[in-house]
Amino acid sequence: MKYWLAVVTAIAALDVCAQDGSTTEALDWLKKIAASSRTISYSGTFVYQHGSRGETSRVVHYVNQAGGVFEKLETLDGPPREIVRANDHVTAYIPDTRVVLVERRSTRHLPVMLPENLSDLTQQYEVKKLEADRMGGYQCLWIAVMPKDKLRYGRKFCAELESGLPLRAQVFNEKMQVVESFGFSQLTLGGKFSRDQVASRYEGRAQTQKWRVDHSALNVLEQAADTGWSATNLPVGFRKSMELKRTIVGRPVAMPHLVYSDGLAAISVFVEPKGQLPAKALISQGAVHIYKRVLGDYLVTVLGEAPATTVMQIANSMELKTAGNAFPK
Amino acid sequence: MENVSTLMDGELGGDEAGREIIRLTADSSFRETWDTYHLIGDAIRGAAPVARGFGPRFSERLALEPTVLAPHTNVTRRFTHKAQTYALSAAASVAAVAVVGWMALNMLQPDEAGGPNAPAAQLAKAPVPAVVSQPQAVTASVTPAVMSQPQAVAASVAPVAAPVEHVQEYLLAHQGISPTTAIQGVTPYIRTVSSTGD
Repeated sequence: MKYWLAVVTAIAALDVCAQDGSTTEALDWLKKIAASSRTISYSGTFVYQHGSRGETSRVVHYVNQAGGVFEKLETLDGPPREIVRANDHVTAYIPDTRVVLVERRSTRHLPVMLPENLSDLTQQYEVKKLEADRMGGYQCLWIAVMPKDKLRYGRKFCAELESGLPLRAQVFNEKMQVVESFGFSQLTLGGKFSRDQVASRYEGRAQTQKWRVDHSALNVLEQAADTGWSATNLPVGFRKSMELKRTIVGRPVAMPHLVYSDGLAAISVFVEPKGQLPAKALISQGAVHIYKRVLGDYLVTVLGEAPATTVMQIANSMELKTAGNAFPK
Repeated sequence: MENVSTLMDGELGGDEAGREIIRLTADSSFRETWDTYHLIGDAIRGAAPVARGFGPRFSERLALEPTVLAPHTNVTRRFTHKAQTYALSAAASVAAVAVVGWMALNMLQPDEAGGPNAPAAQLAKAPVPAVVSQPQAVTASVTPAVMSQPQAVAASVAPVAAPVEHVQEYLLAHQGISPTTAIQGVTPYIRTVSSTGD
């Protein structure tokens, strides 16, 4: 009896080792995918699909010798729009409405795939290498990150073999339906680039025609910031990864911005004073759900790339512990 | 969610319809989705009870919102199938000729602070008329039907057009910290300025 127990235990241990081996490899690929955005330059055309709709855009991504990342995205369907990114500054130009949205991300808070994020990830997801494929003339390998429960979406990335660039990224719901995907329909890796290629054609026009410019700013509180808000009943696997006070585009008053993450999916919570029209709404686009909820004198907006029920659960568990310094008088 | 709409449209085959009906009776969230879709359909056909004063309030809000419906032969079908799959477009200001396509369920009822809520149940009360495509003048065929039925109803149910403006700003801020952006670079930002492309 003991002998058999030993054998079974030994086989089980071997099995675990085998799993760990391939999971480690898959995780290495995931790290490579995440790093690709900071290491290679590319340009191409991609399609953003959500539900039954698709939108094509052109993208140029340029990493200079100092490691600075510059990107430009311009839509090819529908009304023209451009998004330009220079390191931590993101600017969206919307010609139809003559609006410029400027978002400044703190490089301290860039969601790099840190080792601690990865260990969270393996608890909630199964990471696996799948088959090889070929897209746009490049060989790639599918990596699957599948959730162990229904609280999160699954992902698949086809990583270009040499650079790790995800040639296609898909988000799956619990029924294995694709809720959203980004895929290159045409791609050129590398090449010679210059800053001109990533400048917006609307920059000059925006100035001369005096488009409306809305800024946001990150105002990071020095300590592990205490906005006074907390979530009392987080979905399994999610924990707070950030707590900030910041302004967002178009809002003059700084507001709490809390972020909960399970290692791969992030859900943001914004809290503002309740406006004139208290509203509760669930709105969706592809993998993103946004849920607004009135809580006393505040309007809590929760959004993220997770199923609606998960977003709502976080919204419903938000609580104001103390006055904090969320809205200093 | 898709199965609810296909079941409603009578597109599921016999066996599958049977299974879905059984699921409907057992699964409360499925039922809520069902209720929601039916309410939306009813509202469009002018058969839903709406709050007193809804008509005038709605037309006031509609006047503020530059929302139009794309010409489409079957508006009801559009809502049931596309309930979750509209793209957001540039909706930066009220005066804008912006195109807004997020599908929203909205209620005017504020939460009781701190109490556990059942948002899913409450969601099954609000029809949404705001659906758009290209910014061309098209008569919103939904509104006349809804506005002509301003019947009294319990004060807790007050469906209105969803104030979907300012969604972009949250999304822009969120994408700055989302791992998706770390993995995929700038491409997910397309969501912030996406349009319906109809």
